[in-house]
Amino acid sequence: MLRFVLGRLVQSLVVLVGILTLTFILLQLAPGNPFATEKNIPEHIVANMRKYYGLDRPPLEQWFRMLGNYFVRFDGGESFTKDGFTVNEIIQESLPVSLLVGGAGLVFALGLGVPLGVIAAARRNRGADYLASSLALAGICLPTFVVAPLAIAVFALELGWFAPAGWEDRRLDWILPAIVLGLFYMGYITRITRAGMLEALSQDYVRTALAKGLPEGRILVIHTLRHGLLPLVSYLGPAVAGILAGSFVVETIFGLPGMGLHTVAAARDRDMPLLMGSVMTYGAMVLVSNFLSDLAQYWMNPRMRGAGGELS
Amino acid sequence: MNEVNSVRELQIVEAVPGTSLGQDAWRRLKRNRLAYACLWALGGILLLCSGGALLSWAGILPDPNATHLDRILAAPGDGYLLGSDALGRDVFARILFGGLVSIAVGVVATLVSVIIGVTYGAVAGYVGGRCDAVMMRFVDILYAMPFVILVIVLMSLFGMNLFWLFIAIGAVEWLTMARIVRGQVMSLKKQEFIEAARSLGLGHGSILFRHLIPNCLGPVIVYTTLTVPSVMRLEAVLSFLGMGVQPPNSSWGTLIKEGADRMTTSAGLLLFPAAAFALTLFCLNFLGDGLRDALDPKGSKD
Repeated sequence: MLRFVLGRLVQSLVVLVGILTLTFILLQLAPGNPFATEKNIPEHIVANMRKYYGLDRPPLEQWFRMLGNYFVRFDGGESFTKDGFTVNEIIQESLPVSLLVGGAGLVFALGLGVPLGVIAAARRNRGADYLASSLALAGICLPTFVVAPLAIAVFALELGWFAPAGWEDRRLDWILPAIVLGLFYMGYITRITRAGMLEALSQDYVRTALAKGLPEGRILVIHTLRHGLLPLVSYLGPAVAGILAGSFVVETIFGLPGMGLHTVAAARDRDMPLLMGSVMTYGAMVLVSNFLSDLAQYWMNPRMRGAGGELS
Repeated sequence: MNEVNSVRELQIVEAVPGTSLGQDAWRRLKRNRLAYACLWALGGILLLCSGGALLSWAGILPDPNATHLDRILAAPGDGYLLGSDALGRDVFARILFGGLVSIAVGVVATLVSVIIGVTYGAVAGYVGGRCDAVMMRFVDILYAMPFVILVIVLMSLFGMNLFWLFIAIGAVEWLTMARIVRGQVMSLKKQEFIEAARSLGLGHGSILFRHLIPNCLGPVIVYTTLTVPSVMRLEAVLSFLGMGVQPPNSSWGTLIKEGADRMTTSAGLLLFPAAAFALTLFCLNFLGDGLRDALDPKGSKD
């Protein structure tokens, strides 16, 4: 177990260095520069700015210093485009917004998707199944950028329950974006849960339990749920990071000051430090949630603990 | 009498030609009414979109880019089948034309991703060892990057035109395909028919492309049908963010974006393209599910 954890840690560090290096190379190749504005800045001032941010050094040295910033000093440096803010400050401010909206969306998606999937599997090819499956497919097929404007029109503009956009003092404004974000994942979660439960319900031990006369609810919850949810857990590994790190579309439409918005803006404006910081945060979240997902599968699936002993 | 009957039956059974895996899968797909209907619906959508583009070109349908500033935001039916947009362009013609672009992006970018993913995964799985480890670590790195970053940087690197949009989307969507094919190849390469091919003196290239990859076709086809909708959604997201298809070209993504901006005054501008988009995704997803059941006899025994 310890070997698995340590191995994963080393592997994760390699991946993180890889992510930063790849982003660095892409930005070096990309045309445009962060100081291009409508105003005509005199050449010597641009040169001074480049010097200030260390952009006049050879690329290899820049790359090395960038890695040092992240892995030794844990400091992303100053943003190019948001004057006076460091990358750490920007992320500290925007990550909680994305975490709150994403976390609520995830709870909504799981809270609705898992029961729907279980019911659909238990009532296969009957009314409840068709209803749950259509709901799931609607969640997948209706793009977020269609649902979001409609939700704003109905719940914010018509009914006035929420503010249509922005991040005001009203405490409940995060609910609408969270639900819109969660709907899409709810669709996938329902489908994956349904498929996993169908597989679990076709096992011989279920037939044995039925033959023994156990009630259906007990079989579903106690005997098959843990087995049936395995595919969902492996799906959640990468998905959770995607939800929590902030959706560009949802944040753009609802005007939330979250991570997704900053990431896209940083990529567009060539704000290298901020982009590095966002990419690093996202990458770290992917790695952590993949790791947790693997641990959960190990705990849920006795077969993985069996013959092989350790996780691969 | 009885005996004669059974003999005749025996002959009939012998006369039935053997069904190949493909025919078998096709038969199973046809039996799945919903998936089969979706296949027809997709064909219909494709025909309608390309036919519409052809008719506009021939002047029978209005030109999707012709502006009529005196007739902006017309209601559906009022001289326009589905109304007109803020520049007086015919929404119906624009949806058909935009659909052609969206479908083209979906198909071409998926093909790009399939070519990259299958080759990459097959080579990694076939070579194995340290090379495989390095190749798969690279996939891990790309997995842990926000895909939008990659697409944005690639697009700005090469310019925002349709060709590079295909490449950029294909370049981020091949990862799962590579993993699937790698797993398949790793389990296939240990089987006897590969050993036989090798003992006949075949080179690595022909073993890989003539024997291993064709045997992965089932999972590849299934995942490909499921990649098309996700590519189309990605294209729409990018167009929505203003980084995909550029005006005067339109796709369903840009139409939905334009519609969302004017949703409160004329809802049709949002609802019609959104409905076309959702219907297409719906059919692609159902077709993908049907294909999975048809190509995986083990899973569909119920």
